[in-house]
Amino acid sequence: MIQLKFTLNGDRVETWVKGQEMLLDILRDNFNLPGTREGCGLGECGACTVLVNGASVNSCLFPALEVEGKIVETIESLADAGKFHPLQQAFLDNGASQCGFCTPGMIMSAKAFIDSYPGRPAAVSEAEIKQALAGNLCRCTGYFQIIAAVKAAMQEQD
Amino acid sequence: MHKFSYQRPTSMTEAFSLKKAAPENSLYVAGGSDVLLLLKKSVIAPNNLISLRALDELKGIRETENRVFIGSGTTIRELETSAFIAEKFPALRDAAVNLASTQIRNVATLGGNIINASPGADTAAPLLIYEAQVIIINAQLAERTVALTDFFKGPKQVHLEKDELVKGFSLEVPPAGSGSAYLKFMKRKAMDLANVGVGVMLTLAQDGTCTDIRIGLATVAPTPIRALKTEAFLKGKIIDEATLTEAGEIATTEIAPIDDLRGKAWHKTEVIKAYIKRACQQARLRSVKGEV
Repeated sequence: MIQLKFTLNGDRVETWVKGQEMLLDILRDNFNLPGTREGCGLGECGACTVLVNGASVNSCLFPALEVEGKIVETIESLADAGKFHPLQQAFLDNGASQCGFCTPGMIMSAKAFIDSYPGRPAAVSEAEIKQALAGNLCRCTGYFQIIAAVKAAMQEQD
Repeated sequence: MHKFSYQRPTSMTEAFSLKKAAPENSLYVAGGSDVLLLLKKSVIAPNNLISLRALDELKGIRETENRVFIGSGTTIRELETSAFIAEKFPALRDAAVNLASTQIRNVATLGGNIINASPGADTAAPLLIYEAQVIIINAQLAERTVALTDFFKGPKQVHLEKDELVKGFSLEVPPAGSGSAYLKFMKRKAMDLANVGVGVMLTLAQDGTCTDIRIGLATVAPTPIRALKTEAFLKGKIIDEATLTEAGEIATTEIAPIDDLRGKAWHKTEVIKAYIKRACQQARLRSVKGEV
């Protein structure tokens, strides 16, 4: 076991991890943050998406030891004192979540996209949103509501 | 999951000495989007992984006289979002944009994509048309350079010794007035491997005569290849519909596609004909617009 120190959802944390443990494993098991889901476990579905130093990654394929000294954000960091993050609210308002399994990953991908969006948020195109969310599978919604939710959140932000 | 130890050297020297001291079944890993996947699928079972992520020597995009160095640890996302790459090496950007997902592109590296040596590696055809040289460094920190065409050995195989690492790639800056593009044929609109990949860089004279052309092909041979016969045919000709149709036919004589999960050989052959044409047209459009 190797000691690991990093910033998790704004808090400086420490834990002990094994070489083969992925970020997903320790988020769920060591820190009791079950919002990050394991879908395929192979980097295809995006249910495990979290942000490392602001960049979206598949936590199922991200060795836990690689977050040493880095900033990790999960879905649990978004709501502020019981108030939803604008993206969460937009997902709710637009019916963008059905079974909910993909939702945390979908929202974290959308957050990374919005946070680094170079243009005016309100001018975002559907094609850009689709490209940004290509690594997140949803088997319920058919995606239209998700795209609408991201667009709505970006228009509100503008 | 299979158990392994995970080491994070912070210098090249440390990386080499860890490898030397490591158990037999020890592997270097960069972004891990190939290595960890194979590990999870139990295709490989290393006892130890040596991470290359913290090595500054493998990072960065730098200009050197008429050539550009791209560190092997450069992520696909960095290639996708770099204004310099978009301006100088648009075919490489084309490949980066359509490689897997943002999440994968944030970790996957250029070096990893090449060393993994998939016949359909997305970055291979662009690197081939930019005459990439592979810069290899060994445990004594001595460097050697090999043309990318000679680096590929076969499917999933490259010419790299056990005590060597790929430091980066040296690309030729396309001449002024040239244009380049990479087109990827996929069954799905995103998150798919290339069914066929075609990269083209061409230079046209004032009268439209093709003075220089390079064509890189992926997924239609045991390794990514240059279509040298097709290039020779197109050089000196006016690039029009009829010439490109003939070029597509010539290209089919220098490929060796196989039936696999992503497509049948006959279909890849048909797609090559169409995509050589389209990639040349796209490259020509860019050359006319003044984008290299």
